[in-house]
Amino acid sequence: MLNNGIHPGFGHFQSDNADKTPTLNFKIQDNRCDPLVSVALKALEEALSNTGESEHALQTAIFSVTDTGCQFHAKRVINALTTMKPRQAFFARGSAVMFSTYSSMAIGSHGPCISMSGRGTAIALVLNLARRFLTKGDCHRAILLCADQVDGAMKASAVYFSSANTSEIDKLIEYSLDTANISLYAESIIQSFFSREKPV
Amino acid sequence: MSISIIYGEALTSLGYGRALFDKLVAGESGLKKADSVFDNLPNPELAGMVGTVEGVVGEERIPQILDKAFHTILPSIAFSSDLVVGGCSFGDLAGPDAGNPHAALVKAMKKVWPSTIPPTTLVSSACSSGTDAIIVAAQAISSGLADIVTVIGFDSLGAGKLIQHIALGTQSADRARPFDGARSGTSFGEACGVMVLANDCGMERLKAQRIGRIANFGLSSDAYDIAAPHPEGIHAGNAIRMATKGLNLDELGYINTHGSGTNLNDQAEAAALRLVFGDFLDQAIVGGTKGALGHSLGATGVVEAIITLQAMNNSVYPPTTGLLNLDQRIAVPILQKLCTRGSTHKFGLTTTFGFGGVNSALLIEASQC
Repeated sequence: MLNNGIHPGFGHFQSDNADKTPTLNFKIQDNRCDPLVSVALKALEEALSNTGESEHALQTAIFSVTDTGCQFHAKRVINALTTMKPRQAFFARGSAVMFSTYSSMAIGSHGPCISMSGRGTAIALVLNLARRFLTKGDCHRAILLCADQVDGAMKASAVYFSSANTSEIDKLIEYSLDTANISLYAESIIQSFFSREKPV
Repeated sequence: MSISIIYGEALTSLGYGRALFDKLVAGESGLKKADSVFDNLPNPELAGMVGTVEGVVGEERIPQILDKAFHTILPSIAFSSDLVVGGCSFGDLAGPDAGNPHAALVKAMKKVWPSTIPPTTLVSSACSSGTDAIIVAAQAISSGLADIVTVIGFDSLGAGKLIQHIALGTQSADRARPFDGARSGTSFGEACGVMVLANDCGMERLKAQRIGRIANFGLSSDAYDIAAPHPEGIHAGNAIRMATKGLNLDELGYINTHGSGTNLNDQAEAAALRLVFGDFLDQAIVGGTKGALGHSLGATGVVEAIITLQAMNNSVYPPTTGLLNLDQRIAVPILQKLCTRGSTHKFGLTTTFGFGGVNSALLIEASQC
């Protein structure tokens, strides 16, 4: 399900089928990521295509927030341990950092890259950092990527900020810390902020 | 940026408190043979040495590590925090919070916090998690979101995680020998580090003294490989360059490297340092602690930031335990014996690099300059 948000750099993607990962336009050599990371990358593709920009800065900052993390890969590693078998490929790609690092590989960015586990507070903290890098000129663009897997559905939202719209960052920080939103999944907070729908 | 460090202590394989620092300076190591710690390893001959915390057993280790840390190194001023930022990579691979260290942290805090716990979140940037947690916390204070933030870097090493690293080729069958010509990987371990940061208002609230300052930081990503660092250290260098921007190099004292002891990391890190510091590197004081403490994964950034600060404040830089014969291909003078702080040294630098090519650098100002 694709949803064109009203913000030019917003993208959303959702899938209910973990066995059928979305086809990506990004050319990433290593395609063994967790299904939720694939869904997040699809949301990122959507956000970038909505910006209408032809180039993406090398120094783009990428920040991701997830509460549920890479459940599929983590479970494969954990289950294999009943017989003490290593599943190193899944282990290496099962950490929350993979949302950011796969994204940086997808767009070839070498800017700041952080992954957080949490919900509204985590969004506020990473956006706070994004604003610093943008205002100091250490990078010209920043991406916020939020992904969670809830009740079998994998959902992701991505937002692309430039140094010209840091005021939007301030509004989103305030929205994320609002008591009505702070405990919601990060993906849901972002989706509702940009679609102006009530979060669920 | 005026972010004060008002507390920092670590619980490691070499213990905690003043004894930990004294042992590091004395060149002692907390590493133990892996098969003496874990009795269920399929290939014990490949397992090398590990830096586990004394008294922690089994596979469900994070609750034990945090419980032990909270009863030894968590100061009461932490209970006044406006925010807690954890730093952890994967956490446990067993138990109800397997793969979810954020949940494990919240549970552990609820057991000891005298009131409702403050907003608590967690950075999970692989082996840069701890450093990035400090950066996130510092920026939260800098922007006015909080006056007092406690950073808790922690991670565990069970047998299950160790066998993943053996299969990945990152765990040495020997031991961690950072920057040594015979290095063959790291020695993984576990730890917990607690650092409390505050602005002037927070310090006034706590009646606390500054023991150091977060002076600057830098972040970058390699976008190169899902596991291996960029061999030329170009982007890691950018993180270090960002953290040391505007710094008078005469004021730079101890450089605490990530220094994991893997062939690729040490090569890339040495290249990154040379790119940034050029000829100055030949007179710099560069060391690492993983040969003494093990590589404590998501905790290592907080642990090493604390040790960097302690080295500066105690005016003595610990030797790089485990290093016997410096790799001649790495043209970096690595500290093999302890060294005293130079009279011009005001700042310490610590770096961490994580899986997926996430690079972090933190510049810390000592309290006694």
